[in-house]
Amino acid sequence: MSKRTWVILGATSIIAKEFAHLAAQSGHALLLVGRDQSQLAIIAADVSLRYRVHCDVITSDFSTDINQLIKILEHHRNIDLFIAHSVMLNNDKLNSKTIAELTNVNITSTIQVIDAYWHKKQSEHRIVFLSSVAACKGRAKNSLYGASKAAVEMYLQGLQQAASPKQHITIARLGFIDTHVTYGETGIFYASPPKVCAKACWDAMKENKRMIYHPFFWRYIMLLITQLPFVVYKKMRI
Amino acid sequence: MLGPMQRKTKSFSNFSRAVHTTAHSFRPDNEGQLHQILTENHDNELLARGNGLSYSDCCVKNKGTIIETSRLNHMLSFDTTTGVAVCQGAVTFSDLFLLDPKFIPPVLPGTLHATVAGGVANDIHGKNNPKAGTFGHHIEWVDLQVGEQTLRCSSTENKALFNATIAGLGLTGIIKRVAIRLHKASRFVAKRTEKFTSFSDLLNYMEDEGLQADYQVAWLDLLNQPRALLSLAKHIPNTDKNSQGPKHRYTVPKMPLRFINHAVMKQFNRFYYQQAKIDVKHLPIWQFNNPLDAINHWNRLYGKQGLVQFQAVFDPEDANTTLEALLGIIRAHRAVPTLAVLKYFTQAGPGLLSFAKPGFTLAIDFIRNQQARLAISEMNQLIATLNGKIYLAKDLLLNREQFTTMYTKHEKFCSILEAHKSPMSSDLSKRLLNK
Repeated sequence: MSKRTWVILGATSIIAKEFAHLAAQSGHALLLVGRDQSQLAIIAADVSLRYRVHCDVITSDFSTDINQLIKILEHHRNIDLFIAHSVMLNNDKLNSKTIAELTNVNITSTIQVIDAYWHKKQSEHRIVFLSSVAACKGRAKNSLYGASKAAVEMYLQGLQQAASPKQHITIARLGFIDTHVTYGETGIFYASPPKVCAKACWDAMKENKRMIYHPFFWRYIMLLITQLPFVVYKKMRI
Repeated sequence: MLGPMQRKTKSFSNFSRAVHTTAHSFRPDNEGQLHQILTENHDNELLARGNGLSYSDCCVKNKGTIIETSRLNHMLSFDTTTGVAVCQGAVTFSDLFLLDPKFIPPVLPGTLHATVAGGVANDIHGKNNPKAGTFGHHIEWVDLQVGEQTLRCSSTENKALFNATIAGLGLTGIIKRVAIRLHKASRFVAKRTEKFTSFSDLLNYMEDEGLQADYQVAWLDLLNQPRALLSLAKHIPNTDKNSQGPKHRYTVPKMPLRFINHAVMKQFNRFYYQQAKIDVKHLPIWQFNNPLDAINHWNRLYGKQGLVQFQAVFDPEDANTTLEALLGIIRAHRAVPTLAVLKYFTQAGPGLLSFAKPGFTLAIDFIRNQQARLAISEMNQLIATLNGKIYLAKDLLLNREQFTTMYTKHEKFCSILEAHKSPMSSDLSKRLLNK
């Protein structure tokens, strides 16, 4: 796995940044992709100063045309893909514009990048996809967001079925992580530090795991929730 | 698409776990969000907090608004020819070791987990004051967020604000970025130890032969007959072993009770003095300078009550008399000094409220109880009358009168805060500056 480049999509997210640190610590070069150019430059400078690895930056908006990004990826050799970008919107914020944006960023362009990557000629393929426990069951609060994660998961599952022994996809279903999304929210009983979350993703990737939950106990919470009879689920305020 | 920044109500303590406060808090992920917070919040009770490692109440603001800067911790550039590193405020001293094996932070605080912004705001000193001065001497510039605007402050731009920001306890604004001149030196030192059974001999040695070393610090036994170990260190060329940088090795779990008491420490001090070897040892600078950093959460050994620290600087001429007087006060109140450390300064800090000035500085950790409080209050008063200073990063008990006697430039400091309409405030500023 040496001398490979990790491409980090959505690199300004704090989990992605921590994952980039782990990759850099292991000596991998990095290609950070995100929307916020100045913040990307700050993260890239920091990573290369700390770990002395090569770190490039591409500014790209996943809600618009991503052909340019796909072309750039085609030119890079031996890359791995960490997918952290997404639009997180609750159902009460949806309108035709935001629906288009969410599905474009979370589903269409994500799958376009994955498809291009998966067909790229290289000896080994490796994808880590940050999903959410919201993908397990439609929830009144954010079912479109959950559906978008479920869509990519379902697509990746198909790729996993046909994958060669040198092609690995890790899906990480995340519960509460201590990010700006959970900071100050009510009902957060435990939010995992982003560093710990990134390490869990890194370790799962190293072990070629197909699916992990982080924090781990969400596996059991979601098992329970998905098995609930719908009449009970309907009465629950979660 | 972005809404207003989320805040939450949180409790905050200081490093010694001696104060307990509640505040609204924000935690920006980037400088843009920091700006957003200051645009959206116009209250006058703001305080930026890095890693919260001060022993005093300068890192808390009860019922105010805390901005947790921990995620503004990126290193931005390093120039190998000038040695100038530019980084965000919450980068730690430990992080600075990653930049270049040929450079080290010019001044090292007692813990490398402290942030560089905290280092500026307290104008921290190290064990190398005669060689390097204070941290403030090595700051090229700071980018200070004052209200909605960012001001570059240096010895040429916004000079008055620059001098107020160094040792300004975070009251002039939020230290967003800092340019630090690192010191070109190896990261290994040869350490030797001298044993003393008289404090006056120790003081004389530190003022004289001790100055030949790059770093010197003395450990004092205040629970048995006068005894001291003076550690002296000099840089030696880098060897490749163990130069990876500082690491945690042990963690102290949360403890329901205190594991440190008078009897334990009395025996420990005896043992510590006896076992100390005087031969020369080669070790990384962080192992010499920050041995306690290897133990995560060592403050938990003091139990829920926490600890309290006294640190003063006093004139070298009557140092022995002052030391005796301080010990007399401690004994009279039956306070339990658990750890006592003596350093020697020859250079004053450049900030308006800098602590360092030529003299000896004595830092004593106490078990936190009523006896310690009484002893420290009396020692504070003694230091005030002796033309000394109490370190604001450590103190919880100084009063306004003592503060104004010790920090003679406080009026100028306050006028700069007013001129810039600084919205910053801490429990310490309330106590000592009525702000």
